[in-house]
Amino acid sequence: MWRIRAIPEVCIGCGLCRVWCKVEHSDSKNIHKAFKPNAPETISCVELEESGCESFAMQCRQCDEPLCAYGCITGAMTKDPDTGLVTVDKKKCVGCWTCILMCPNGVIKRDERNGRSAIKCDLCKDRGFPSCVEHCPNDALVIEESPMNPLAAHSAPLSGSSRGDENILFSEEVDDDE
Amino acid sequence: MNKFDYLIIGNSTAAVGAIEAIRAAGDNGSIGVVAHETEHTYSRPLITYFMAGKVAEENVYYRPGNFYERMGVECMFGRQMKSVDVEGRSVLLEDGERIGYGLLMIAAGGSPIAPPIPGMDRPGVFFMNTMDDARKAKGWLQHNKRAVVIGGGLTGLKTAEALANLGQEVIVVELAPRVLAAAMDEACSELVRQVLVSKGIEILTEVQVTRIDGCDDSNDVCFATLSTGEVISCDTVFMAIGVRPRIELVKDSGIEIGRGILVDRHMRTNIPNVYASGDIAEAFDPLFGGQRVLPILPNAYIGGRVAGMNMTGKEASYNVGMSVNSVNFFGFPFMSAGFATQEEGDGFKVFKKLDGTNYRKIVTRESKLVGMLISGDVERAGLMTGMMRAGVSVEGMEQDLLDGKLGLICLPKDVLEERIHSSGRNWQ
Ligand SMILES: Cc1cc2nc3c(=O)[nH]c(=O)nc-3n(C[C@H](O)[C@H](O)[C@H](O)COP(=O)(O)OP(=O)(O)OC[C@H]3O[C@@H](n4cnc5c(N)ncnc54)[C@H](O)[C@@H]3O)c2cc1C
Repeated sequence: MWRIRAIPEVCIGCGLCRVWCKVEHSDSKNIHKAFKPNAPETISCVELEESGCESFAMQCRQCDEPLCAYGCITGAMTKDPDTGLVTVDKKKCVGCWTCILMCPNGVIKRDERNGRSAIKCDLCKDRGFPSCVEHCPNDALVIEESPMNPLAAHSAPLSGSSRGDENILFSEEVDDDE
Repeated sequence: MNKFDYLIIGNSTAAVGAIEAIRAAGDNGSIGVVAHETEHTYSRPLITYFMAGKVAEENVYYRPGNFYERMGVECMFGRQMKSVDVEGRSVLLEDGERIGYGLLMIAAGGSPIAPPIPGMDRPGVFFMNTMDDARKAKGWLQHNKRAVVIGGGLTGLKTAEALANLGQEVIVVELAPRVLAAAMDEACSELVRQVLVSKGIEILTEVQVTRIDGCDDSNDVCFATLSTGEVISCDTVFMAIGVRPRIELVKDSGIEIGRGILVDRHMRTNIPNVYASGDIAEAFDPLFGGQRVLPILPNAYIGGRVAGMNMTGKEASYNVGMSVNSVNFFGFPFMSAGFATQEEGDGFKVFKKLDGTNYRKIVTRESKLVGMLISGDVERAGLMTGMMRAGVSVEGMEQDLLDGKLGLICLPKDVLEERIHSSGRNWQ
């Protein structure tokens, strides 16, 4: 499974990770349109942490023991036993924000653009490769590949969700992209 | 006698936590689940949303329809456990059948407290604890319009919210001087009150309902009499004064009980092959420093998972079972954790900040964060529960915590390193 990892030593705090995350979560998915004054609001699932001259970017670590999923009152937040991805089913989420209270890294956001739903880093699964990692100019965000911890298998996604598509993360094309 | 390697009593959050852990641990032992309710596992907190029509029935379910098949679980629903014979390793059901087990997990939750109010049995009086309650009430409300909710705790207020969303006139009757008194301090419950009142909900405090009457020509609810003597007309009454662990199930069995079934940090009772978790259990709270009943969903799942792991022989410890609550009323969010109602004194330091409807309070003890309460801006609130679990010192950071100016970067180097590198396996 994949995780994004921050390398604080080389982070220059430029914030491009946030910019590209916002593009990815915008309606247009286009950097020329996403930040226009009248463009609909968009969300970054990456936090840029700064103190003095230290900085690093932080997003979901796709925990082996995801407290957000364990605390989820509806069953909307689950960890996929095959991909290890912790995902929110927007149809089921009621926006109670228990996940926000449970996540010790503070990387789950409120998405109130269309109803209420939690939103978090999904490793850009529809895009194929995490945009923040791809666009980090200093390699301060990297992909960490680790074997799936069998104990971490939480529960499969709800029936009807696109389980097959999620494997795109691990497809050949991704390697080409790198 | 039918026998299972793992017999689980209850079919809710704690049970699901245990089932998923047993299978994740690669254990293929037989699992049997006995549950009083006939429903597929559902999210109890969503029943008020279902009643209000805010959540469709198919989305109330906590796991997909094929969950039990996939997990290889034999379901015995609509059946009730009566007692347990720990020596003979079997459970007796109300219908007379006896079921054997290798390991038993009791996750039968709590039952709603029924106050001895005359008129409790009238048509139009409801509890709000099960999907069945919500279904019945939903039907009833279609031709009624004025409801009294007894109890201003979480369940009562979520019920009131649902009723208001249905266009009902709603009166909440609370015995304490304020709503959510167990979970919040005065300032925060006042904010909750304002949200509810702004939506037309009437809130009466320091008062009780003493009887429920029908009308001359009908048995159905017509009036509620208050302890002040006042009589209010209404056609529906909801009882929401709390739940009590179903400890009567293990009475005289040899399983130790306090207010709930007492369990150690492995969620094991005093009987080695019997476990318990969820609302029925009295489990370890690291901030409190002892066992207590904490009927909240995250702890039911985590406790169930810990029990499941230990039952399969994989050691896991229940170390994160503190109180956490995140709730919103009409979209306005409130969060609390740990010693949220604590005031200054007894070794606790309290810091507060009120800015319009944004409230923030933090509680420290020996410079560690042990409590928090937030309304409005709940962004990144988990950083604080994370600090509470990690037991880091927040000395000198109090103002930043109040201002919401905090990040992982404030954490001590070793904790921060762990957060950046860990695979999120160990949240003790
Ligand atoms: C309206 C409402 C809103 C809530 N909102 C929240 C919230 O926002 N956040 C939060 O954290 N918590 C909330 N809770 C609490 C949460 O629902 C519980 O903490 C959680 O459901 C506990 O799970 P459990 O597994 O212990 O058992 P329960 O959910 O209590 O289920 C008990 C199970 O045992 C079965 N059972 C009972 N008796 C027997 C018997 N004799 N034999 C066999 N089976 C039996 C039942 O059928 C059921 O399957 C809410 C509760 C209610 C009612």
